[in-house]
Amino acid sequence: MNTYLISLIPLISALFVFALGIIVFFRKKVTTLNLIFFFITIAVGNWLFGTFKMFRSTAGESAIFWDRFIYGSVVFIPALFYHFGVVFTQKIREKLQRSCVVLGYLLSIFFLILSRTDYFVSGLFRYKWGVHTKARLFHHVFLIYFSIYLILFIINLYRYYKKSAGPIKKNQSYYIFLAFFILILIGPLGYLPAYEIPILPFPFLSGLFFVTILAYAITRYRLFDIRVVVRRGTVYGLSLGVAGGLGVLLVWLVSRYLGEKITGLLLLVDSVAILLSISVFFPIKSFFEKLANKYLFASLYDTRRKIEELTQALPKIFYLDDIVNLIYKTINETLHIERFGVIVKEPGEENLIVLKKKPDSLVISPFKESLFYFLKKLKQTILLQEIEIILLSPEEKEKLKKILSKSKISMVLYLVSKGEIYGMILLGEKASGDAFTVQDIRLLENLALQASISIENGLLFRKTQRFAEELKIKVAQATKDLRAANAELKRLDQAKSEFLRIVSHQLRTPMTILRWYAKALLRGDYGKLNKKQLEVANDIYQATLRQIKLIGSFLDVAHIEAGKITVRKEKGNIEELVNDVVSELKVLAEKMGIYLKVEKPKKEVPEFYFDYEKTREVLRNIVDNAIKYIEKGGATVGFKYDEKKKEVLVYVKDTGIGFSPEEKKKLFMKFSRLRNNKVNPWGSGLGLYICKRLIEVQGGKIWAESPGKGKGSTFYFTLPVKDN
Amino acid sequence: MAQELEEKIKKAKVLVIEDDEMLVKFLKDELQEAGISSVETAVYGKEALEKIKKKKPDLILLDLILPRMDGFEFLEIIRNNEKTKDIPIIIMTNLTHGEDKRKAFQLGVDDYLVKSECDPEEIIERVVRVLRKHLN
Repeated sequence: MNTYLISLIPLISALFVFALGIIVFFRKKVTTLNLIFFFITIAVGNWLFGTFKMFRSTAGESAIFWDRFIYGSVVFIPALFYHFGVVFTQKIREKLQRSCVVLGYLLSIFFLILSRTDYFVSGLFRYKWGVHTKARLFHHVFLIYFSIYLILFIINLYRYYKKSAGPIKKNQSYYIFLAFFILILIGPLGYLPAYEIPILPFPFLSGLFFVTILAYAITRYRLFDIRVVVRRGTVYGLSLGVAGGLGVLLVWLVSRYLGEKITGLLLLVDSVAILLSISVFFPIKSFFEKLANKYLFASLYDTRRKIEELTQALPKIFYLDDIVNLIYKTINETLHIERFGVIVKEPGEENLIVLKKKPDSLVISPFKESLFYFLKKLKQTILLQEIEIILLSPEEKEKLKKILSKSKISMVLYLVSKGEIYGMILLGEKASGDAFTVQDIRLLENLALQASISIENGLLFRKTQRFAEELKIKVAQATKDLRAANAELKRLDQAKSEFLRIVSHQLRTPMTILRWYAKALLRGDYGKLNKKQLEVANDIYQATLRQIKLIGSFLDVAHIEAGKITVRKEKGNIEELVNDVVSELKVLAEKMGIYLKVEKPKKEVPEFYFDYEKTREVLRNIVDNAIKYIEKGGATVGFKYDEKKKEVLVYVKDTGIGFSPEEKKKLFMKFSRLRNNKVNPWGSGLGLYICKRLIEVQGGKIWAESPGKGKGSTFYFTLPVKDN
Repeated sequence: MAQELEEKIKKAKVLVIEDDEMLVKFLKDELQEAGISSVETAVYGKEALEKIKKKKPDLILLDLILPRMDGFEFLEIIRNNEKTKDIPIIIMTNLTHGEDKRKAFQLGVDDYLVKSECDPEEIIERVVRVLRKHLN
């Protein structure tokens, strides 16, 4: 077998691995994970490089040396891997885990020292393809340690993979698991030659696969954060310089005192120095980091603090504009993001509205629906920098990419309420041009959660405000309308009054003239009249009186119908009223040969509030009617006070023509007249109707009873007695 | 028929404010028949005020419905003026509404007649009564 050519494979692989390690290291920002990975690549690279050297070595001594060299890196693999696993699965906070990691490193160092001895490996096995050291006692122990840690590591990884939610995390953990699994499955086969098992040394290829898979995952799945190389580079540069410097110093010192005795020893010391530097690197880095954070990376802490301030201030603000502006201000000041947008769906509405956009030229309206659709579909933050790993069909992915690049949006955070996404916060890229780190994203997502609540409240508040405003306007309008209607009503009312006045005046004026002239004529003002002339003059005069009365009735009804009756209640004496009416009509009654008398009650009727004028007219009308419908006999007017019902009753009993039950129904209706022999030429048929209205408007009741036709009748009305 | 009136009453100056020509003619005749010779007439409130300014009447017969200036308006002006507030006024109208009557009395009138419900002699009777009361 041409070992020379075969040996090139590990060399190239080693170079490849180292290169990848460096690229990853400097491409993304350095976090703990980054760093561990870097050392993993160093360890794996060393393994590969050592393998190459081992293939090349012809002398047994150098073979052994290079084998030991390989082991020098390999002893750190369990610890490194385990550490990587713990950080990746986010269990670094757990005390147990941390202790295991520390223990791992301690054991690594222990075995590192041991690997220099013959208790670890010694002697050589010779195989067709080359040589391999023989495994000794501590090698076996080492393998136990190796196995335990790697098994725990892979279990951790597997669990994490199973547990992880979200497409990104799932992808990440899948690839990592895959990479390590392959490595762990195949890699340890490389130990077999140490136990006299003559397998070809292919296991080193797993290292290559491993690193390739990981590198892919790293670059594609946001495993290791991107940070400004320049800034972090300072820290690492310093740390590397110091750690490396220490290593070089050690070498120099050793070479100084030990001289250039054995080149092999020197090489060993080189390796040790390298490994030592690397071990020392951690604490030095922490030191510099703390220093740098204080003076150079204050902004990182500022960001956290500012965002914390924001989340504290948000619940206290109600106005939507203020909320959104504050969010923008905070994000702008901390992460230096210039492009910003907030788009929401208002509660109960269908449309998406843009609450704010900076700058004003930000074009998002044509895309907002699509973007919202994607956001709702994915149910997580959309990052342009991770667009490739988003779980969408290729067409949809393209569409989303287009939207984001057209509007120059780098991140879309969702706003959620009661489990439903109702809006989004759009962010452009950071002014520095850097991608978003895991911390940035976590902070922003947290902020978005807080904002979700605040913005929702703001929207509701605004809705309420708007509703109140609308209500105010509506009420003002309604009041205006009401006022207008009122004014119109008043106007109509006044028009009615005017009309009645005019009609009153216009109808009565000619009647007045007729009456006066008729009377004057009758008086003989224009010469003595003969018998016939007197008769005629009298008829004319009487006719005018009838007409005047008729007009009066019609106008009264017109007033009543127009609602122009005003009741004026004054304290009065009903007895007085009754006597007044009776005395007025007594003459007429006597002339007609019938009696008209008053029946006083046993108990005195107290004074009470009623409309004297209207009541007088009513009583007069009834008595007048009674007189007209009596042939013989007379009418009696009576009154009394009902204490229980709190009303005053007035009645007019007559011995007149009475009425039948059918006639009774129509008595108080308009234009009803009783048929009798003596047709009343004076009647308008409105008298009783007017009486009814005049009584009812005072809150009283009016009715009539009759035993039958020809048997007389009694008319009653009541007036309420109130305590005011 | 004219009654025997006191000289004072006969010499009284009466102002009739009424827009119907026929009524005015009749009233003037009637008053003069009764012995009151000085009868002035006016159709408009403004016209009446001017006549009052020139010659203060002893009695005003006022209709409530007048063209241009309303009767009530005229009444208010008369009653608010120092010089004219004590001139006796008899309202002669065809408004029967209680409210109108009340309003007139509130403004200070001496009597309220509904034209169509009075005969001419009644009018003279009331005029004399008021004049008698006022001139004594």
